[in-house]
Amino acid sequence: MISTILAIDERDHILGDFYTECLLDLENFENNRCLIKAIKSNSLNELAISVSIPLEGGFIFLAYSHGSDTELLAGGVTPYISESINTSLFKNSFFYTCSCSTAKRLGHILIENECISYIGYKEKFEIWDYNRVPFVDCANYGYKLFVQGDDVKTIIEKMKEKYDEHIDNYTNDIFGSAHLLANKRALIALGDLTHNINSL
Amino acid sequence: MSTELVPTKIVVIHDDMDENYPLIVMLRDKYSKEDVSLFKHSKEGLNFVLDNLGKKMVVLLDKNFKDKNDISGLKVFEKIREETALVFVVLISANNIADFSEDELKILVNKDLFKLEKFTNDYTSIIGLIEEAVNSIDMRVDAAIEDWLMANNLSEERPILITETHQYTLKQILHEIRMETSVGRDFVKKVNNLTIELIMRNKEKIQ
Repeated sequence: MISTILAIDERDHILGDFYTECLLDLENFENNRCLIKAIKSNSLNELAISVSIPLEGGFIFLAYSHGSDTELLAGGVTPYISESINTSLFKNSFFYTCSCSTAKRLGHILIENECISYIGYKEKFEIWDYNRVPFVDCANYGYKLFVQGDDVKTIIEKMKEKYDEHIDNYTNDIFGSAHLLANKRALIALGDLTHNINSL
Repeated sequence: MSTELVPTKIVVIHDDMDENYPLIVMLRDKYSKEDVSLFKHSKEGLNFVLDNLGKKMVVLLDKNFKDKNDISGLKVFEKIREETALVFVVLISANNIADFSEDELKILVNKDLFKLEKFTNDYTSIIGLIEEAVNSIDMRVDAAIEDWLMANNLSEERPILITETHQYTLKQILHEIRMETSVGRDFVKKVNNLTIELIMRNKEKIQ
């Protein structure tokens, strides 16, 4: 089993409901490769992150919370991952997040600190909440592909195809499609694009 | 979304007209009584427009007012433009265009007046310009959102756009667009990007 750490701010007053649906979807994703250990809102902090990360070997780190160019934030305020506190902890990891804007700088810093690969968003990740399902599906899809054995380059391609699929089938809600497209365009991968679960 | 569900308000600001004036009667016949508002004083008309920026509006505006307490039509136009570019203004004047000063013309052109028309007793051209303005408004993103809201019978209180820092109801998004805030501009940009994307991928008709 590959250790998978999920940092999730499911009680956030703005995005908590969305993250909760993402969590339910991840919990229902059956596989025999990864075991998720969730760090939820009530314990989402720098200390919990540091004690949860395996001392040896590769691992997967998932982040579902507010983000900025340089930080991941609990409650939209308190950093639990940032350049100044703990980016060196993610050595040998696959780092996957749907948080806003972390691909601008934080992702690059993680790679500089020997995180093997990173997938995230270089702009705001926004949700049009008329139909939440496509947004949850797209948010979780890349992690599922990684668990199923795809490499990072393939994951990005398939994630963008998944976005297109929802954009094209978003009956009666052009505004949902508009926000899915913006999220799709903000999605990028960094680091070793040949990285896959078998190399962890 | 092609059917207009939310009517555009027609606001007439003119001191020579009253409720029985032929142009007002014709406009109310074409649109509806409740969607055509007449103001004989420019300040009252301006206040109505500024108090209703969340609605689709076309303003038919007289250039000159006789009452010394009124401000000119040009000043009303400028005051509207200080708040929004999304209200379409048709300026009517008894003067010939040659009678406008250079500064007045600069204001009208640079601040995006929709149409300028000489005021005569033949109202068909004015009604035609108002119809053109109404049609132009209905092609805008904010109008599409408003119609979508009505078509989907969505609660006005339910947040539908969730961003990093805020939740917005459709009404709030409409307000952001019509006030031309960064959130509103970003929303319009996303919809425009989608239109281009769908055309480029030959998916302009969403399945």
